[in-house]
Amino acid sequence: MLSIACLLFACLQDPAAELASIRKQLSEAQDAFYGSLGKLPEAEREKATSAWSKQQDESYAKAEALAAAHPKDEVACEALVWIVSSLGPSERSTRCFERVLADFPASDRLAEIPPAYVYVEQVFVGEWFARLAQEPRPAKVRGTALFASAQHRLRAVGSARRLREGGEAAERIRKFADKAWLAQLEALDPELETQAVDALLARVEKEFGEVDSSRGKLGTRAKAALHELRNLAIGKIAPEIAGKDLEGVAFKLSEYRGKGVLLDFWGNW
Amino acid sequence: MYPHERSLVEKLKNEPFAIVGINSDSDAVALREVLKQENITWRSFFDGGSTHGPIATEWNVSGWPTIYVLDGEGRIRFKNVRGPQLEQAIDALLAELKSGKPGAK
Repeated sequence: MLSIACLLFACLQDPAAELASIRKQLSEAQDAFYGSLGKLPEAEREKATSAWSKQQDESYAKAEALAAAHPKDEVACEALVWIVSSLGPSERSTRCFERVLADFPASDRLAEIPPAYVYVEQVFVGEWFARLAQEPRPAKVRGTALFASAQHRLRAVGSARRLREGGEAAERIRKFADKAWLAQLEALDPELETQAVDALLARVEKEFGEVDSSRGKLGTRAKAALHELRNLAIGKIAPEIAGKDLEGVAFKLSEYRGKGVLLDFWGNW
Repeated sequence: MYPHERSLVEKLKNEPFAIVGINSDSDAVALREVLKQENITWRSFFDGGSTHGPIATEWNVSGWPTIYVLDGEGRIRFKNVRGPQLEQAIDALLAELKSGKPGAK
């Protein structure tokens, strides 16, 4: 009993342990929520969803308060970066982003932020990446931000092309994109932007190739992205694929010349 | 995506158009059972049993499914088209192939 009381006391005293406990709680709540959602009757889903969103809000609020209570401590940096990278676009994230950049301008931890925003189609993301790619950020952060920026810009190029082609896809973009993002897409020249991203990826490969990311060295990833940009773009002849089918019989993509081919990268998951 | 692919198989049955898969599952033997159950009839390359297989790596694939549509010359004509867009892409290429325009042989 005494040891439990001591442990509890230690947790309350140690901000790092407190943050770890907030993160663990939220991650368990997330697993529980997504695990149960499919099994719940329709009527209860809304309730569960709103409870989950309340739980998230409380956890992020606690983490932000913790950071405010220990402003110069490493734990504040961890808390702020965690909020920004796991909560996503929101007022709280913007506030925490500004805070962490002001108080921990050269922390390696900032490298966790860019990958979380590659798929966020909003104008501010480009500005964030640009600020993360500047001095005094360490190489790990600058490289990660530049690579994320290249990915983000390529996605924008794809959307800009679909907008120009018109049809249903263009309508969908117009319907869902926010105004500023849409204006940016409409102003974008896909060819010029692709050239700029090509140069950016070449720079990442050359200057930040040794930087590690969760999915391998940036050099390897930038090289693969450049290869896709240069050789797997629309209009290029597809590289040969030679291998074995699921029965172990060898075949080649080029056997299908003369026919149209739908190449489908798939998995049974 | 299986139901949609199956309907494509039906649509393309007598057309000069093939579905070629690149499969990133870990176990080809277990997968054969799935092929039977799901009535998957298109041919797939087995990509070394992981999502980091040589073909997916060469093609820089990081999301599944990823779709490319090639014309009769093996030229990449569409990328990551889905649903009705995919149907339109295939129809456009079929029309080209049949009219003997570039790509048709």
